[in-house]
Amino acid sequence: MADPLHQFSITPLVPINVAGLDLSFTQSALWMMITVGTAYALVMVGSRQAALIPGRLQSVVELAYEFIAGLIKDNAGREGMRFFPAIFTLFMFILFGNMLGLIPMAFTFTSHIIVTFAMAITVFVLITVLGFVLHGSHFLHFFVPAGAPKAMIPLLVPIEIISYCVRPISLSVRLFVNMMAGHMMLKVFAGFIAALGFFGFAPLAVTVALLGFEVVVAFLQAYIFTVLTCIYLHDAIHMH
Amino acid sequence: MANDDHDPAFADLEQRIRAAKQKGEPVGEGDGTDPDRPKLNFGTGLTVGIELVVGVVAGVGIGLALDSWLETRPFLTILLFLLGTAAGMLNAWRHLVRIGMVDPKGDGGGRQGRGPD
Repeated sequence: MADPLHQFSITPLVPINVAGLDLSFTQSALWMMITVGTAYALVMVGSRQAALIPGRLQSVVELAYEFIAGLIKDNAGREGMRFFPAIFTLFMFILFGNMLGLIPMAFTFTSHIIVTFAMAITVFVLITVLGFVLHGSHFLHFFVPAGAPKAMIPLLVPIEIISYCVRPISLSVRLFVNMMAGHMMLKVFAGFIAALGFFGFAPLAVTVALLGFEVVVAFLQAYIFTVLTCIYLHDAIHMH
Repeated sequence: MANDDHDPAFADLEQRIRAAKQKGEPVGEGDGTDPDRPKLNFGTGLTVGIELVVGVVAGVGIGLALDSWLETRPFLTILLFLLGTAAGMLNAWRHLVRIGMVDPKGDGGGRQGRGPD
């Protein structure tokens, strides 16, 4: 049976080596470019006409806009709308990356922790910087739980700091684990189809069901990543 | 629609919504039937598990790194393991509060601590 982990291996398409550093253009980078291109094309084509009665593509773009705008207003407050472009981009990038990865023979770059961690740490650093820019050193009060007895503060502050610092890890691990586990499961069940011959219809049915399930997971994980980003943004803007 | 208020079908709507919400209240066990929170019930177990594990692993990782730097092995590893576990639990708890599965004001959490809301 085919190795279920083989699909995650990175293969360089254009080998580039600069001063001993491997900067090759890989299939992962290619799929990121395809993702950006597809999302960009959808938004540009969908918003080109700006008709009063939207067509199908324009409806999709408007739905996506309203969905993310609602998400930001609900989770980060109205002040969060300043960051709409960044959050919309993040959501579309993860959503399209997850969805395009479900196409057979495609590569899911969100199944690599380095990709999800890069996104999560960027969000984390920018939001922390934003917290300090907005509140100055007062942002450090974020690590002191409101109403905690003074005697407990030496214990609670380190816990709060660790709980804050693990945010990018849990954010990235959640997305990567979901994507990797789903794709591995698909591959394992798909591998049984040929191996079982006539009885292959049973794993085929499971694979079809799993693929449908994965579509939900692909959307849900993009949604969760975005919601959590908004919640962290809310913490940085409003504190507690 | 402005005349909805006079429609007999809508007359007791608020009361019916309240009754339905009350009926759906003991969903602390996560049976996924509460209409208020269907979206995030999905995958909650995995998310909470990740929060717990990440806290412990990060705590131990930071502890090991600090210990080898300050040559205090194993004290900081033990200390940060405990703090990391607490941080993981805190994050898991906050996640459950965020999705509305537990009430932060309740003393024991879950259903028994719920006040009238």
